[in-house]
Amino acid sequence: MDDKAKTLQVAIIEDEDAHYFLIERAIIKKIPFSSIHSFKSAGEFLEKFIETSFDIIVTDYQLPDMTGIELLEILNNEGNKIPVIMVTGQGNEMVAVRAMKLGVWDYLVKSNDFFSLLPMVIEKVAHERNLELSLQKSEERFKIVFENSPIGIGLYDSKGYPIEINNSLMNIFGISDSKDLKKFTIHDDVNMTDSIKTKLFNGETVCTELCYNLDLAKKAALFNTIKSGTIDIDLLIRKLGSIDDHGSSGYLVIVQDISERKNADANIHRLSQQLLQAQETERQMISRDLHDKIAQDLSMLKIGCETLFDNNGHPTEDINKRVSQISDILHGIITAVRDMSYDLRPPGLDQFGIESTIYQYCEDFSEKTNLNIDFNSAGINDINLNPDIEINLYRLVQEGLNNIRKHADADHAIIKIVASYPNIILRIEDNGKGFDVNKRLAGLTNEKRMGLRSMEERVSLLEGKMAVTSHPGKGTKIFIEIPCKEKNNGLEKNCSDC
Amino acid sequence: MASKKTVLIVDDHPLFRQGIKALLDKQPGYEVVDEAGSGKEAIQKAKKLKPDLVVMDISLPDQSGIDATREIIGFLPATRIMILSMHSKIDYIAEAFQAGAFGYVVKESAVDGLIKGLDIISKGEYFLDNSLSHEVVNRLMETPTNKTKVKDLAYGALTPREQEVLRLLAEGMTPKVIGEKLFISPKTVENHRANIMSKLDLHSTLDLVRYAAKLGLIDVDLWKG
Repeated sequence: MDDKAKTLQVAIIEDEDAHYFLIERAIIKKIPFSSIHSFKSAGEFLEKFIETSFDIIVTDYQLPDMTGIELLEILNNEGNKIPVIMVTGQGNEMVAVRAMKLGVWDYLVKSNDFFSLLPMVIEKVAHERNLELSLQKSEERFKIVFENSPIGIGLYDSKGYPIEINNSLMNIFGISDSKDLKKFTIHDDVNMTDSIKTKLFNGETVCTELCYNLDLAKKAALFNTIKSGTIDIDLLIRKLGSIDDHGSSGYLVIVQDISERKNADANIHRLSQQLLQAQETERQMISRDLHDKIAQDLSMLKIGCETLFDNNGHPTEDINKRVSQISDILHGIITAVRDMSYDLRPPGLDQFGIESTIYQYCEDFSEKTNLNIDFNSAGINDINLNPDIEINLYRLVQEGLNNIRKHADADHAIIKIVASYPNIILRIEDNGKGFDVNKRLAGLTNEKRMGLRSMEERVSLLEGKMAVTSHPGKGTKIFIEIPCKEKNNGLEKNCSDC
Repeated sequence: MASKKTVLIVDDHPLFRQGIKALLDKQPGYEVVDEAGSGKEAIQKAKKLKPDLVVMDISLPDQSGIDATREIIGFLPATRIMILSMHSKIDYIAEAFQAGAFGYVVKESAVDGLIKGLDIISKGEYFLDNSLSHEVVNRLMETPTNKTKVKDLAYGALTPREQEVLRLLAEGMTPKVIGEKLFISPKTVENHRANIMSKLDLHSTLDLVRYAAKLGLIDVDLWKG
């Protein structure tokens, strides 16, 4: 802002003309860019006061219609913010104190150096006034940002009561009356978890995603809200050192509604699970078709080919040779088709059970890759597992071992599978180069990491949990625990009793 | 004197049955008396016809050919059954012989293998398709240093409750805490503990923790030692 270019509008209320001229001259001499407005009485001034915007008001204490103090009172009642300088003939402490209490910016006695002092005081007041105005403007700007921010922001005092909250914060919770929020502290909020409360208590910053139950809040009579159910929020509560002139501490609360994102995440999650299931069904179908139809027909063809001339005369040597070649090719195709079918879906899962099938897979894998695999199982064959769990356990082992082969640079792996009522535990461990788990989780979408990601999807499909521990150079351990669902007379029964 | 051996062909694939029948019809020693397309039909026809030989597929629409084999051998112990399947995995082969089959031939080597095999099993000897030798020998030669398969049979004898208690004990919980967790009395926990120790032949808490770690119930750093 260019303050210098602006003319300083000074109102002078002085009934003595001689005095007025001296004042005017002194001011103009010192402050050339000022414009002086003269008023003979308080009444005259008050008439113009509304329509003219003054920067500074200079008033005599002794006015024909009232005293300067009375004028100040009137101005204050009108909500005046313009600085007032009071001038008086003789110093009177009582008057000075009254004037100061009423918010006068300065108080001058008409002494010898009055005419040189006044312009200086005016300049000083104008300067302070400018500072105040720019502070006000910046405050207004911050207020605009605060109020229009889509993020919910609240300033709370040290007890946890809100001092200032913006509209977004209220909108997120569906609150229309901000008074509602002022009735309770952060600590009273039923939706705050113990871990949040502990952190607040210890003065630590809280930064968490929270599923906020509005119904619970309503039930606890915290506030009225037009919303219902739950919302997912991203919550940040930071302790502030000082929030006012007295240095009291408080909290900054920042809330973002992430329900939509959570919803989208859940949809993606659901979709990828459906994808997994669809993939499994598809694989099963293709595998069965390959094995039971194509390989079978090819075998037929091979038999037909080999017995082609059994009843029909005597083929030449050349024809015999070609028939034998065709038969060899057919043999190769049959083997390839069968291997394909076995790769798509483990043979004998229904027939021999999960334990034997996984063991067989480990054997074959070990043979193909030179990775030593210790396989250890206990109590699995004694439960009649639901086929969905069986195939997914098998896939987890398959994906786990393939991850090891591709990334781990290991020569030894351990597969442990054990029934531990009401769950099943699967451990996949290797002695390879390991990795930084946190770094990897941060970049999970990276294609190289999809192996772990897809294992996680599978585990959550089975409503289980999975933990990965690894350190560079120290191998990787994957721990998976899934609730065991039994297949029971065609009825699915969950054998967990929780 | 050289009466023909009667054969029942079991396969859900009509074309394939035809092929096998054509193959056998050319042999003077065998006579195909009937065909069956399902396990149930096979058992019925075997009961009625009492064939000397059955050529049996594993993948049947209603049940596994291995189960059908077991059943037929149950009432016709003298009948020799030849499995003729697409499967070449070792588990199938083992299970087939366990069920009472005398021979195993994969379909693609039916022309060379089937007649030879039938000749052999008719005499009461076992027959295994040449192309399967590789798979079987590999399994026999498995070196224990390369891979180990630990299968704990004793663990399977634990009741679900005992499995729960074992894991919690191995995690270091006291009977009192376990009791609270499972809503049973500490005394019951102690009883379970005694049963677990005796079933698994364990003699100390250290044994129990080691055992649980070996199984994977709890985690210990396996790569340190």
